[in-house]
Amino acid sequence: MKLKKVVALFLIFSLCFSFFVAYPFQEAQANPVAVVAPGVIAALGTALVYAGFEFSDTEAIQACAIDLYRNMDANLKAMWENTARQLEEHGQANTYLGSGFVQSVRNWYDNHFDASIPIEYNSASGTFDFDHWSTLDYTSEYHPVFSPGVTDKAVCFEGDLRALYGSIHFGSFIFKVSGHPYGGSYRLTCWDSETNKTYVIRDYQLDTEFLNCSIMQSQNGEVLTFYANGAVIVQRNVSSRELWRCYAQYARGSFFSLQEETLSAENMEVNLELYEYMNRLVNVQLQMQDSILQLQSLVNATPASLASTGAVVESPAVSIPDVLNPPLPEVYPENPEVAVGTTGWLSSISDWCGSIWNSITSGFQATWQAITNVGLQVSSISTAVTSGLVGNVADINVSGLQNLGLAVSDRFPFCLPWDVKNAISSLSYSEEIPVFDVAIPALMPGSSPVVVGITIPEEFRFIIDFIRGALLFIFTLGLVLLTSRFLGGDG
Amino acid sequence: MLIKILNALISVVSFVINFIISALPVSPFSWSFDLPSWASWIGVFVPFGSMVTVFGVYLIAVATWYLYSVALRWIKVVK
Repeated sequence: MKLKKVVALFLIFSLCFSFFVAYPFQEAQANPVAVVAPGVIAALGTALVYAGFEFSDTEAIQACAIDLYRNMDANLKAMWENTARQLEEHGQANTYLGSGFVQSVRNWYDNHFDASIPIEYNSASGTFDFDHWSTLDYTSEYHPVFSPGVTDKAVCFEGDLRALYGSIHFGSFIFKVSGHPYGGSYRLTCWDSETNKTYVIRDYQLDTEFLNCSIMQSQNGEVLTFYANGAVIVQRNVSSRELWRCYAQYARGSFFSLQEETLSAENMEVNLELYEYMNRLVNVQLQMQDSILQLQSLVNATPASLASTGAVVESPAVSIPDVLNPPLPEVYPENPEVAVGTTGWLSSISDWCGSIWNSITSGFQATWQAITNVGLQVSSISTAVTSGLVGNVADINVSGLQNLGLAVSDRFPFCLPWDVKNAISSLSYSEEIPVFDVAIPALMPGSSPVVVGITIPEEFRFIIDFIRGALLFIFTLGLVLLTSRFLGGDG
Repeated sequence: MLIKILNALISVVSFVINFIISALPVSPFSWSFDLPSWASWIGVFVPFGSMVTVFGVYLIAVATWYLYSVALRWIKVVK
């Protein structure tokens, strides 16, 4: 009997232990239901923002995007939904967003704006970039340009903070890797060639395998260099809520605070990571050549396949311009020379004083080095005696045991905690407040039914936090009271 | 020397456990069903995610206490 209790307790403990060992890994897998909707709505919201709409906050962007999505014609709506579904279900498959989508969006822009919206096919990233060039004003100090891109694996919101003398690229993305949705945002560093200043605007330390990176340097409105690529793989998940927060930050234009982060010329540094990314881009672009050819063939083949849907498609729907991708420089530029300190005849006196000081300090350093060498010899003898028998404790490798928790997460019966968690998490609250569409039938002959969306008004949403907090408090209190039964002893 | 032996033991144990785990069947449950629209309202007001986390930590604490209890009974500290 005791043995059964011990075995049962051990089983419970092992289940709980394995559950929480692998819990962070499971948390990294976002709720699929929560990713799809932002994938569609966020892309629409991005398009609205870069097209010139101004919103008060993130919720306003979402509301407008949702409204736009609802009022789309069936074909366009189906294409957006299909895109999100493909991203969600077949992220690794060679799916493709039909050119009918591009045509529909272009028509939408043409109908709503006087200026023509160029749509360019980025052969490096495999995306269609919608560039609102008509608002680009190189005479202003900084100017943001948003370019939502849709690929077979990702929905990317990219942008350039284009200045008179340089450009800084930033972006956010939702995409699929190994069957799991990920999202994130990133910023990069850019060197301003005119003012000799480095702008460091990265606020997320992402563990990147390789990073989406478009680097452009321009001077007086003329593009000097441009390196473009589209695929992104990161190992860190950022929730869609966080993604929206970053996006809202971009939408509010708060990145104009860049000037506060400008480094002084004395502390100027060239971001070596940037060049590492550029190095990787070369390999990535070579790997993408096949997929680029496939995309080009699909662009030519898509009009015929869309003919049955009744979509209006030009042939070819989208021209494929050449993208300026010059070869990377063989030798990366060093930090630009900046004159700092004394100049002219004063510099010779300064150099003489400096040489004396250097000789004194080097003498002290040599003496200190000799003393430390003796100490190192003594410690190395004692280390040799102990390490021969025991070894270095830091060499203990427990990585095999650490992965056991993740390994049992899908194996019956140890998978039961995750199954229960997934069942409950399927009811979890995403950032989108649900809306009920109630159709009021037509009262007058000839009129059409009215569809009313019922949701919680913005003014009353604060009560959600109160209710959630109260329920969590009651739940915790119930557990406390339940504990007395568990641990109350025989009495 | 001892560290190398310990690492070898750890690798053997992890290999055996991994082998046993790989022989187990995969989870028969699938929770990726389409919920009705009203179900999303429940999640808005009920903090399921936080409840799961609190309950999981609670289970760990109770299981640990039971383990201590069993150990104390074995060594005759308590009856």
